[in-house]
Amino acid sequence: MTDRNASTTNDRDPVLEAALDNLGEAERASPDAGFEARIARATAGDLGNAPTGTPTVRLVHPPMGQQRLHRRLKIATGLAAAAAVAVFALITLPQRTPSPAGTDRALADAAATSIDDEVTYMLAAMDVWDTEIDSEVDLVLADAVGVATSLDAADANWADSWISQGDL
Amino acid sequence: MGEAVSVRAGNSGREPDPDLDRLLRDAQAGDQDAWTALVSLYARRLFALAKSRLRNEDAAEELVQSVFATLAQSLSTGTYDDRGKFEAWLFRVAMNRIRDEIRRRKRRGERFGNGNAAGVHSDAIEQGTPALDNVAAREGDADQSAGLSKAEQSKASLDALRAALEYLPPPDREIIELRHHGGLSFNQIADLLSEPVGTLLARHHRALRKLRKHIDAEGSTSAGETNQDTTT
Repeated sequence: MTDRNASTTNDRDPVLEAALDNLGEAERASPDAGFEARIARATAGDLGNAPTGTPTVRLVHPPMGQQRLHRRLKIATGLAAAAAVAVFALITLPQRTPSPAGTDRALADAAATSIDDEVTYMLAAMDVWDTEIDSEVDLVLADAVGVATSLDAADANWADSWISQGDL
Repeated sequence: MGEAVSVRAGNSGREPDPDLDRLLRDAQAGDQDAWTALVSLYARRLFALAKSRLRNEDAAEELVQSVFATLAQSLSTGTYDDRGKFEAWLFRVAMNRIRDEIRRRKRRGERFGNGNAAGVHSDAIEQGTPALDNVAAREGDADQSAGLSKAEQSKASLDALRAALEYLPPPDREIIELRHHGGLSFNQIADLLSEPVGTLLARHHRALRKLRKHIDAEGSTSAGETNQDTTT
């Protein structure tokens, strides 16, 4: 079966080449008689124009390239999901392990909390103070109005008496 | 054996084969008979190539199936456009799949077992050849003296040759398998590997020399072991 004229080398090994040809022939003969029909049936469905009604058997397993692609996609998706969860946990969850940086952060958090409380208390106090001041001002204003009214009346009496005396 | 055409006969791979072109066109049009004929032409050659490397018949059949699934998809979608060098195209797809499968196995740490050597068709074993018998004789006269049948001797010779191929570097083994298992001409292998024919001839020759050297070394070793066994 070997093409005897194909090689140009002088020191060929026809015995070994014939043995290899026989090994190849044995390997080609090793599948059972239904091998070709099995492969043809299994792959006929991949022909786009396969006639309808023809019984076709799909691949039991997808092509190896597709299997690898699906596995890689799954791995990539899993890694991305794990990374997202890790980043989310770092951002949102409190630090459980004490460390210098963690202590500073805790102190800063505590300071921020106390400042917030102080501001809240201050605003509440200012509200109370504002209300009381407003009341006092209202009272003062009312008194002032009374004083002005009294003064007006006194002035009027003084003017009337002074006119009646004919001093003008 | 079911081979519709003799391996490496006729077309050198340089000239488009009108019969093959017609088969491809008919298969592309959905002709099931043409598709079955295409599969019958190449399935066993691809199987032999895959089995030799993967050492597993189930894996080899699955790989052949995936190659023909790719061909069918390429024909039906019109992406196959390598007319005139169909065999080079088909075997290139197969070689790529085989390399991928070997890489995958290496990543998974799978061992390449001795496969299903017992699956070799009995007819092929019984045929025997002087050449194979010659190899067997070089490897161990003790087997013959132990009263093994001719079929057993032939099977032992095939197993020894398979084992010897395992010792070849992948590039050497590849060209041997494309030539003797896949049944490709040197012109077709040149198209497949994109190398000059002269380079391939030299590579093939070097691969044979390495193989012969290993077989002779193994033969002398086993003969030496046998002599030791008989003397003790």
